[in-house]
Formats: sequence, structure tokens, C-alpha cells
Amino acid sequence: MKKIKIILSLAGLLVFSSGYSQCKSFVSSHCAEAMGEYIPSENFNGAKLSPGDKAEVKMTFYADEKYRLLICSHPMIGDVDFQVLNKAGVTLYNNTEDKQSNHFDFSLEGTQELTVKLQVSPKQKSILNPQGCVAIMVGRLITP
Amino acid sequence: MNMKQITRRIRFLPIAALVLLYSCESAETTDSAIVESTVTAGFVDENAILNAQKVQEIFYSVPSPMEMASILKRTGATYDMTLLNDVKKVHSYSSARRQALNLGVYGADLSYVSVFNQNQEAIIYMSCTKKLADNLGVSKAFDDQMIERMETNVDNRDSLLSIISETYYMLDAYLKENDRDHISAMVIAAGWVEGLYLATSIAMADDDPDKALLQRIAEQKLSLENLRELVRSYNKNNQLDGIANDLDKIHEAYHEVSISSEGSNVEKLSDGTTRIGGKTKVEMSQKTLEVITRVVSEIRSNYIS
Repeated sequence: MKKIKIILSLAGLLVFSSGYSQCKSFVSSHCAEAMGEYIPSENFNGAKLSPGDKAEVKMTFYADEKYRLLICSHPMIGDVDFQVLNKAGVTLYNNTEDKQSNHFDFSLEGTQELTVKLQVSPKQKSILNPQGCVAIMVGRLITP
Repeated sequence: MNMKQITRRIRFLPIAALVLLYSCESAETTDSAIVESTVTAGFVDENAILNAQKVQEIFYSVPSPMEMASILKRTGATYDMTLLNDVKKVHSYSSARRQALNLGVYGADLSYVSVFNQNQEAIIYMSCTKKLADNLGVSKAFDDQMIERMETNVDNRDSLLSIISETYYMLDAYLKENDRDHISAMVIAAGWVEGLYLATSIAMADDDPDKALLQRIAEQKLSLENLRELVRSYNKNNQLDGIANDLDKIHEAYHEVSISSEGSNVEKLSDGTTRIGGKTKVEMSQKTLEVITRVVSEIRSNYIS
């Protein structure tokens, strides 16, 4: 029993310390393609999250630009639910009502500050607490 | 569950965790998912995992300088290279603060020259940013082939813009993931200031500036609030006090700008995208524009000196 405790402690320590490894390379290899023709914004908004974790980003979106909001996440952590809200807190988009889409393509009549709220679905909660990179990416179509 | 069952279940946990961890890393170093086991004094506490306080991450983001450059191009502004920071100054920035600020300034200039199809200049400005990144010790953030990729795509503006955005995105990610988020905030803030400097300088030089350009300048009041929050969130050791003060001055200059929005309605378009309705009404007087232009110009001069 004592031996098991020691092994578990060491494994836990090793795995925990690796939890801070790079999210950047995951985004580079797994997310860029999903942006398609949209040019990504230069701000990196990503973190290691586990099922049940939440994140949000506030950003100004300009009138008449064409945007793609992409939530790029590691498959191991399961579904990521996200909503887009205006400043008054009104939900403008909810991916749980859109076949769990990982992106939202939109344009605006007037410039607005929007909030993107996401939660890694708690369904994958388990004794093995999976943790993976989640990046909130915004791309814009370049006009000639 | 008796003790024997618990022991049987946990026996394989470290092995499973290690296998999953190293299979991810050995298969591809880019695969960052891990399995994390919570161990308290050697015991796996299932309830502690399932009931643990979950993480809540809050990010603040600002539109990239490229978006401001794009509106300048669309409004028919003439390209004016005299507005840009001189590339020869790159060697004079010796402190980390100056290097970070001018990484942002040159980045915005890079967006400006690229959007205006000044592709050879774009390569020169990209070399400047590479030089500053090297000096800051963040050259790992840059793709070694980046300059070559730009040279190969020199006649393709969209490819150039994509390479530039990707480069700055990866730089930002690298800084944030290596506990240098205050440097990231400096780069972002200085890039935003330079973008606004270019826009206001062009607007002020025109007797009858384009209304869309004026509107976009006024709308920076919204981005400014996000930027101030971003700077506040990364100012853990007061390293960003100077930037925060600069943004406060710009905030004060924007005091008279009024922005009001109608309620948003949502419409699905035939191309599959969504149109978010609701007009935004913006009011900014000529006097306010002059104040903003002066304040931004002073701050920018301080950054590039």
C-alpha cells in the first residue's frame, strides 16, 4: 500500500508539472486550418482547461467586417459550449443550439463590444481529470 | 466500495496517466493534452476532483492594428511612409521595455505597409521585428522560415498579411506561456497606439476626412476599455504603470466621445453567416479629434524615441 502511495504521488507530481506545457504548439498545428480564409487576430487567448472549467473574452468587433469566432480545443476534454453575448447580456449565438459547432461566422451592422463565454462540458468529468488546450480565436476576412 | 476495490482501481492510475501523457508527447510535441490526477497525501480523492472549484479564465482582447490599417486603405487614404517609425532606430532600443514597445510599433507599421501593398518594405519591417524579438530573447517565438516565406509570397498581399498575423499571434502565445505576459501587454498596447497614431495623423492631414475613418477613430473608445483591462490584468508587479498612465491620458482625451448602440437582432444569411443588427451612433467633435491626435502623438513619440 505504501509503495502504491509513493508511485501515485510521484506520478501525480510529474503529470501536474507537465500541465503547464505549451498550448501554442497545439494551436499552431490543430487550429490554423480551421480558420480557413479568415486572418487570425494577433492576440492569443488560450489556456489549459478541464471539464467544467469556464473562460470568457471581451472584444470589440467592427461594423461590416466579416468575422469567424473559432473555439479550438483538444478532443480529449470533450465538447466545449460557447455563447456570444452583447453588452446588455443578451445571447446572440449559442453553439449548443447549432449542432455543437466550433465556430461562428458573423458580421455586424454597428460596432459592438461582445463577450464570448465558454464552458468545457462537465460531462467528461472523471477521476482522471483530463486537461487540454482551449483557444478562443477571432479571424477576419480581408477585403481587396 | 471496499478497500480492496479502491486499491485495484488506483493501482493502474499512475500507469494510465503516464502512458497517456507520454503517448501524447512522443507522438507529437504539439499535442498538449494531458491527464492530471489529483493526489492528496498519496490518496486519490475522487470527490475532491468532482467537486473542485473550476477554473474561470477571463481574457481581454483588442482588434489588431491590421484592422485599423484596413479601414485606412478602404477609405482611400494615401500611403504615407513618413508617418512610420524609422527602421534605422531598431538598433537604438536597448532596454526590454523599449524593445517590447517598438515590437508593437513596428508590428503596426508592418501591417500598414502590407495592407498598402508595400511588400518590399514589409520584409524590411518584418526584419526589424525579428531583430527586436532576438534582442528580447523571444526569437523562439518566430518561425525560422518566416522571412523566407515572406520573400516567397512577396507578390501576394493576402499571404503576407496571413504570415504577419500568424507571426504576431505566435509571439503573443509564446510570451503569455512563458510568464512574460507584461511584455505581451506592452507589445499589444504600443501596437494599438501606433495604429491610432496613423489613423489620427491621416485624418488630421485631410481637410475633409472620410466619415468611416472618423467613426473608426471614435470607436476606439470601446477597444481602449478592453486594452486598459488587459493592461491592468497583467500589471502584477507594477511593470505596466507607465503604459496604464498613458492609456488613462488617452481615456481622458476620449471623454467627450459618445457611443450609443441600438438593441441587437440576429439574422441568418443565405451564405450561412449571421448578421448581428443594431446600429451604433458615434459622436466626436473636431476639437476632440484634435485632442486625441495630440495626446496619442505625444505618447507615441515617447515610445519610439
